[in-house]
Amino acid sequence: MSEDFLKSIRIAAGGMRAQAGRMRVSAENIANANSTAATPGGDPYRRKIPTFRTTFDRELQATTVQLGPVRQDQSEFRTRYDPNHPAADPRGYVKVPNVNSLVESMDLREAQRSYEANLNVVTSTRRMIQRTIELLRS
Amino acid sequence: MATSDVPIFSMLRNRMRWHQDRQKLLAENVANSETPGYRARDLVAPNFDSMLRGGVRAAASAGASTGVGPVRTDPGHIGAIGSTVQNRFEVRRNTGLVATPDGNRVNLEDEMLKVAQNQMDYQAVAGLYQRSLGMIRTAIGKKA
Amino acid sequence: MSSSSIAANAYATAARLFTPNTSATRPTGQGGSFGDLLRGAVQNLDQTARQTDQRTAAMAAGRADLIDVVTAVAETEVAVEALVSVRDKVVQAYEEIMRMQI
Repeated sequence: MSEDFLKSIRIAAGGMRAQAGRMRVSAENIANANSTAATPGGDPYRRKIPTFRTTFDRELQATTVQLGPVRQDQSEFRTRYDPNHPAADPRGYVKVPNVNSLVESMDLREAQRSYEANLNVVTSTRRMIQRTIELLRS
Repeated sequence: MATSDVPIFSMLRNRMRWHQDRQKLLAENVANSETPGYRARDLVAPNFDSMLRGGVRAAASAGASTGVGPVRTDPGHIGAIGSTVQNRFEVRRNTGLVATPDGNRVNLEDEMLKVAQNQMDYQAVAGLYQRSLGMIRTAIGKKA
Repeated sequence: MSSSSIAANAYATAARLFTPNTSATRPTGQGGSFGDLLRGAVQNLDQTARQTDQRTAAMAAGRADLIDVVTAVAETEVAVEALVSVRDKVVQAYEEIMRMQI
């Protein structure tokens, strides 16, 4: 059947969208790496984890990737001793977000790399389309 | 007298289709570079010489597979995860790749290299096609 | 309408001129076989051009493969040019003969 160039672009575009969503989640985590609670003993920002959902698209006849539901990292909050902090519990400990900035930056970089790879596919396919249309010139 | 009867044109056309199909497969690999259990796939380069002489069927039955993996005599039905995909050309699973802990077997750098290569090859074939048309035009004295 | 379909219609009309009722006046020998060749070429072109038109229409509706359409159009164009070249040469030769003083 028609394995058109446009299908390649749509597949890559889906990949770009998914990676962009993943980057958004990482960025949100990084931005909130220090967001503690407002009330004493309360929970701080809980790390978000993006999930991917792969589906077989019938129209494109290919496996495509989508951003799935965003989950919450259920790992325990670490605590920090800071009795003067507004969120300090009776013992003087403040719960801090379960975000590891280093891990988040690495994830962000990986997502960016994947995003650019998909973008490369789009650019490359576009060039192939242009070359095809050029056959009609002359 | 039809131009499409000239074997060079149908061969070049088929070659262009092959590159087009390959681009879609590579796009799929890149999009699924982190999908658990996904294995990168590629197209087997058909035997273009026998294609020039006898058409696509001849090439397929001449055992034109140079890749490692299952060899089919029909333009194969190797499906993606749980699907039945009809392919015009033979699909080969890439073997010998390192798998990540979740079973993904896509090397992004390799795929990017293939994409660039595929694009350049396609442009070369399209250029040959255009040149061939140009030669016929010159022959009939209608070069624009 | 696409230019190739206008040409295709023109040649379909020309093809109808090569219908069986001209066979009675067909000159003997080489003239006849050349006429057959030309008729065949025009009919072949007519068919190819129709097919190309269908592909172009399908493309406009968003359903066809780019490579198929582009190659079909390019090849039809060359085929038309080839046929036109032959026709021009034939007409030229005819006029030259008619110019001869007898």
